[in-house]
Amino acid sequence: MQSRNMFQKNHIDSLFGELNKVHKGTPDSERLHRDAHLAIAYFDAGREIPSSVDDRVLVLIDKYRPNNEKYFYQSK
Amino acid sequence: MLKKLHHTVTRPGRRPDDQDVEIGIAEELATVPGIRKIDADVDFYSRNYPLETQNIEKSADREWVWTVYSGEMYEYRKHHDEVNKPLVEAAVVSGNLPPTSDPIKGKNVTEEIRAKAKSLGFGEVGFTKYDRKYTYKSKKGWVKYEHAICLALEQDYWQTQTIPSMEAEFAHFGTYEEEGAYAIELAAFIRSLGYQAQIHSPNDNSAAYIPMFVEAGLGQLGANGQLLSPHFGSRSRLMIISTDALVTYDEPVDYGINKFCEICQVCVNRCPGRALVKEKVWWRGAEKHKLMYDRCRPVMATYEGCGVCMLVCPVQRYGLPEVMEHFVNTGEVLGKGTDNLEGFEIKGKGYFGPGELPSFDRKFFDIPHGTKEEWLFEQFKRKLDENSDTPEDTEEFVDNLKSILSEKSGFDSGL
Repeated sequence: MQSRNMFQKNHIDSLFGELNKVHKGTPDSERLHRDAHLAIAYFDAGREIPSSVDDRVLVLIDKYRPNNEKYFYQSK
Repeated sequence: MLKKLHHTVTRPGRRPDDQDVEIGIAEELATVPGIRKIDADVDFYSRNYPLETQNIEKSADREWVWTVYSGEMYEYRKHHDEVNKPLVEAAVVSGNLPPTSDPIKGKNVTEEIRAKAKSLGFGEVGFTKYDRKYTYKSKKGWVKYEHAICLALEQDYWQTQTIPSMEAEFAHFGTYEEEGAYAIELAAFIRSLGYQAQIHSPNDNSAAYIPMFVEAGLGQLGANGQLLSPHFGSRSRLMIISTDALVTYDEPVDYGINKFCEICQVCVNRCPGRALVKEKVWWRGAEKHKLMYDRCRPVMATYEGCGVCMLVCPVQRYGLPEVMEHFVNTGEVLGKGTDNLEGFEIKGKGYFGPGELPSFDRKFFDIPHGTKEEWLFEQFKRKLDENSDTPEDTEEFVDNLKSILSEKSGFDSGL
């Protein structure tokens, strides 16, 4: 797990900063937060991000992932 | 799959309309349903050393916390206490209210009550015996009914992930306020079925609630000293309604948590006050991780409720199904060693990533101990030892003692 570039504080702050800016207070906000934490955890572990994760979260993962580290997600 | 499965637990989904979830428990995580305990020891301690509520036993530091709160925290706590007080008072007399209809003879109402509780918003609902072995000494004469309905209300996900913060404290105390109101409605529902219902407030607890929640199959005790339930870990507030209704008890479950916490240890490693311990001990007849209260309390009071042990628990953050699936497939703890799970920020101290902890000087942990009268006496004794006492000190001591002894109740709706 340690050999991967994992999400650091700056990546996490940026990702959740954008998520909050766009979605805070919306009915989807809570689900997106849960999905984002889970997606980061799978990313950091080098595992496939499950298809249940919201597409809007995948966009953020792609945007803020560390050093263009590769990641995988299950197709919907 | 890396690990062999020992058993699979099926639980209802997180919300009423969600599908059931299946949680595969790895062979190496299987222990016992509920918790390892020695019933004879639990009985012995209960009889000879009955538990007492922190509202009484720790009243000195419960008063002290007000002196270290930030201005915002102080004002918010005052507001919360005002809002919460009527709910606690309603709970105190709830057991005396009569049923509002006649019961249908022989009809088991377990699922009706469960469905009503779920519809009100309680995320976990379980039934077990109200076990008086865990009742606080000061509440022994108050408890009326033999069955416990264990109720857990989830607190807001996003706010909780900002721990430690005022935002998280709004979630913490706000959940108590909601829960108190829901309980009044649920108790009224039980009375409408023809039975008695007594509300055991989450802020004026009648007993140690977690053992009953474990017995009702709603989770297992985590290394952070909190109930870890499958969907939200410890991100919930617990309360009980006891009743004489015809109900069926749930069974304890082995969620794999007893062993998982021994492997995970994230909360133990991340606790800012170093209040959590790696090894389990036998305590009052149960095998558990026992936290060190005096290391926890000062951090909790000074830094916006702390709660880092709740924040960094992977079960809280990701949910037990995901955490167990990851363990079975990789042998690893989901999120362990990452900033995402382990990072936290303490106001005035900065950010602490994995492997980093804040430091506090020794004096920081020097807080009042015991009951208010014990602490008063301790301070007076120090003066006598130092020969620095004056007649005014003695007079003040007597006045303060009278004032403490005249207080009606130890209730405070605090941490």
